[in-house]
Amino acid sequence: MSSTVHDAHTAHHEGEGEHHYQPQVLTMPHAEVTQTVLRVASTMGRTYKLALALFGGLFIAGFIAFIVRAQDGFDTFTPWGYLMATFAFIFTTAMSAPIFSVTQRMVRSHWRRPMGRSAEIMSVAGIVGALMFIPLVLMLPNAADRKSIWFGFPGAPHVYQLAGLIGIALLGMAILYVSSLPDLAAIRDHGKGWRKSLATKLAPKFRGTPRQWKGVKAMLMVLGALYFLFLIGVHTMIASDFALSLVPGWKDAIFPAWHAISGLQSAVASTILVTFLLYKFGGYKDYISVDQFWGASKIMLALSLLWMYFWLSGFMIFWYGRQPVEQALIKLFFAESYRFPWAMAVCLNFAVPFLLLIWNGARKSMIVPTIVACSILLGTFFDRIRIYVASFSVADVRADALHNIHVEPFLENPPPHLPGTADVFMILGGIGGAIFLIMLAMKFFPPISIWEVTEGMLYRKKKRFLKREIMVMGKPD
Amino acid sequence: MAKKQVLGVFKTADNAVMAVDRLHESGFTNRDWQVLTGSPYPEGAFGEWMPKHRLYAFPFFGAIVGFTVAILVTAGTSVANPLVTGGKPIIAIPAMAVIVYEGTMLGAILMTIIGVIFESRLPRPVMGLYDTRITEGYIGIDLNCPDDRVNTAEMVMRQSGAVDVKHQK
Repeated sequence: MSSTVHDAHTAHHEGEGEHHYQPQVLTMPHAEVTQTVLRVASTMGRTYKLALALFGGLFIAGFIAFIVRAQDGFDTFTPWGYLMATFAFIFTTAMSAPIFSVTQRMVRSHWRRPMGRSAEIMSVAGIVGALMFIPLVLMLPNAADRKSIWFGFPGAPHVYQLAGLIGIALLGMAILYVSSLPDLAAIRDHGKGWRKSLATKLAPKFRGTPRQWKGVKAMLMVLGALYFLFLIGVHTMIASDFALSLVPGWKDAIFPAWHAISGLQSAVASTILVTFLLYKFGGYKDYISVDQFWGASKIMLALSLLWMYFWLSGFMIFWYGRQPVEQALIKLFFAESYRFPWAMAVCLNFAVPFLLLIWNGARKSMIVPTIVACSILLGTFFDRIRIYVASFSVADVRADALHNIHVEPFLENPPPHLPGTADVFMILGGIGGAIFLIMLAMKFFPPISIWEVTEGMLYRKKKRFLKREIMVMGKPD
Repeated sequence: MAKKQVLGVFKTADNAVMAVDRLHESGFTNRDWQVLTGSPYPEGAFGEWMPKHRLYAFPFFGAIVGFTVAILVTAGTSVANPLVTGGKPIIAIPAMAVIVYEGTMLGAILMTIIGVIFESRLPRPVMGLYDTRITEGYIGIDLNCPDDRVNTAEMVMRQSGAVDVKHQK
């Protein structure tokens, strides 16, 4: 690490041997930030190329598995349960990730500057998500003659589902584009080859006038607010149409909100994991420090507690209600058929984050928040399988409920549907395709936001205070 | 009198501020120049002119339109399909509130996007004078200057530490 970069994060307390944590203070010149970030972002090592080939190959294999499975048609739901779970996983993690950058920018947190772009870049996974979503949404029957959230709205649910999902994917990528505009201008000025040509097309007239800076910041705020609005809405629609409405008698107003909370939790977890990978293997050690992990892990802990609180609030209704349909739902989703993925979800989404992140020492490190982030992502994967594979199984057992308003509630408990070979390849292909696109995007859009990092450098200084050094920070607005 | 663009490129913000002060002493005002930076500086850091904007009007107008449309859609569909649910009135405010809220927000936000594009004058039709060192942290002072004062402006900028001064051809 360059000695001119950020001075040691711990300052030695003279005489007593104690170590005081000090926030990151970058001291390198602006030109060096521009040159190093652009150099690293445009270099693709052998390992990176191999990883790209691997994930690209998985994506192709997954697509072939989809074609093979599609030969049997789309008349039954059960064979597509794992595709839905994989889509829901990508939507909950990568496609929801920009919300981390949006919210942290809104509250003007300064520690997020080097990690916000990682969250925004993940929006490109929306391309894979949208491709997976189209066949799934077309499987849904018309909402006119069955119980759903749509009350017979014309075009429901297909038109609104597609509009919502494509809208959230485009909004995520719009945030990435606007946020990257000043950095694309830097690529236009200092890049080479195809990157320079493309950046010149994408940021042809950006000069850095006060009006342009104001425009970029205002646009990010507005797009962020719109993204937030859409994200919660799309989580609600997906949870309602692909789970609640397929299981007759399942009435739970808290479930869609809990689904959205899960999206927020996974968004923070994905961002922490990508930031750690950028730190460890990406060549961006000079810009990422414990600050980012410490700040994000507090939010991750709060969201993990909220995850459990929302789930428990919904579960209480079934637990105390004890109606036959509620007992059947408990057996299906928690106690019998999908007991294992549920146990994994509770353990990995709540117990592990709670037990590890309650310790300040653990939060104030890079490795523990990263372990917790991996735990949350794995837990979310199991949870999406539990919700959507189970709901899709019920949709076949109780197909009568898909075309009638007045139907008996669900009382049976279908056995767990385990993945076949094609399912495994569709899971790997979907996730592999999302990672492939994210890795590819990181070689064009700098994963460290040059303009936000250098802006942060304007406001942070180190100063001697009595016997130790402290960080002094200016807040212009 | 015809005007020309003159761009002074400064290595430090202090030099740029010094140039601005000297330009003002030479009779230029802050409406004659704008600052070009590679990262956003706090508003007014260089004493630059802050253009007035009417951005606040856009979300207000959008919110009114969104609110009206949402009321019409929710009340209209309820009246068109008068289905009594749970013994509640056909036009029930709690059921309409969510859609009305979302409609109002959507209208406000969409109009704000249009407002930001309009107020930021994005996209710009022409690039204007520029130096690629600006994205490396150099500061540009882009002066709109009468033809006969170009030499004065260039001299002031060089005396203030400009590493380069460019003229419009």
